[in-house]
Amino acid sequence: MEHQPFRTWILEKEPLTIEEQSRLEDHLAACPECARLSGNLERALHIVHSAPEVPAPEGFTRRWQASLAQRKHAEEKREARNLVFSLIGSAIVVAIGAILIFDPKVSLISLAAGSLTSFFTVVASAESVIEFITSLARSLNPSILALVLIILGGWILLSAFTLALSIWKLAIKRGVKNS
Amino acid sequence: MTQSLDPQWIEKARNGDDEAFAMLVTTYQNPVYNLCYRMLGESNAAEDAAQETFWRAYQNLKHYDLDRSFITWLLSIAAHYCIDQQRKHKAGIFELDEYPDFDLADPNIPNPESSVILNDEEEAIHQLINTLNPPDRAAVILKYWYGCSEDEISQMLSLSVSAVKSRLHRARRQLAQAITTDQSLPVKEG
Repeated sequence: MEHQPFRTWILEKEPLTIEEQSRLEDHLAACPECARLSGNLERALHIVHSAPEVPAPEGFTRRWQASLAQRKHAEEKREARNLVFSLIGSAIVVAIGAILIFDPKVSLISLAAGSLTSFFTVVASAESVIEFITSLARSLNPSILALVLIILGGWILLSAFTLALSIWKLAIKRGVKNS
Repeated sequence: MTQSLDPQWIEKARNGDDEAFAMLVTTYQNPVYNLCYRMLGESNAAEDAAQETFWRAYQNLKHYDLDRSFITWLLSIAAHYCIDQQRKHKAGIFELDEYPDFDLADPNIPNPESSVILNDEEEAIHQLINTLNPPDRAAVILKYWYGCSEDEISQMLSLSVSAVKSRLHRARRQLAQAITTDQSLPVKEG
């Protein structure tokens, strides 16, 4: 049995002409598949359509006002921080500009080269620190090394616990709004 | 669609009167919360989404076109936010701010919110609506709960009218199939 255009008519739910309506009714009477589709759709839409509006929980506006105050405060802090960063950034740019203008011996290339040299010096220092720690670990008595590792591990665990506690406290603080 | 408020409150809120904006929140909290609840299916997430909707509206109130319906504008913000949340959730993206609150209440004591969730009819509605992808769900909710026209839905969801029609067509087919395949759904007679 041909199901088109009846399936489309059922699912589109657009107004039909009298002739189309009559053809659809004849088809639904003869086709159990399309009749089931139509019935199921009507039941589904009835469930959706007849569902009541779920009201906002009590105290919604009060919580909105409290969160507005918090968000405004956070926004002000962020703006202040951005202002400080832009001022520092501008000061650096002005300082670099002033150096380039007033000291003919300094060029943008020499400044960049100086910055790169400083960066590599820091990296090299970090490498030598790591080498020193490795050689120290090798020279230590195994029992002392184990003790150092235990202390270090304990310190890492304590830091992780402190971080988890902070997140938990943050969540509890946020949970207050629902009380 | 729903109750409306004197435009003077919107004007006052636009001029920085927080009390006037709180009046807007009180007036429109139910339709906004209901949309978020129907989209997300969970009361805490719905409250967070509704609060976020009002915050975004508060921030963008200066850009609000006074010729447009205020509730349509609010529902548009809510629908977009809920669709984004569900996409993020599906992609497994979490923000610290989205961490669930620790519920210290006794789970054995019934409260109105859990009663709503446990209600069979609500569960049936949620199961049905959940079969749809978020944008289709938003289109169905706006069409059948809020009585929005396809033109209004297209503006609210930033889609073309033909895309809305196509989404509604697909959603109706899926809803009819969901009723067929899930025999446990309690269906109202009528």
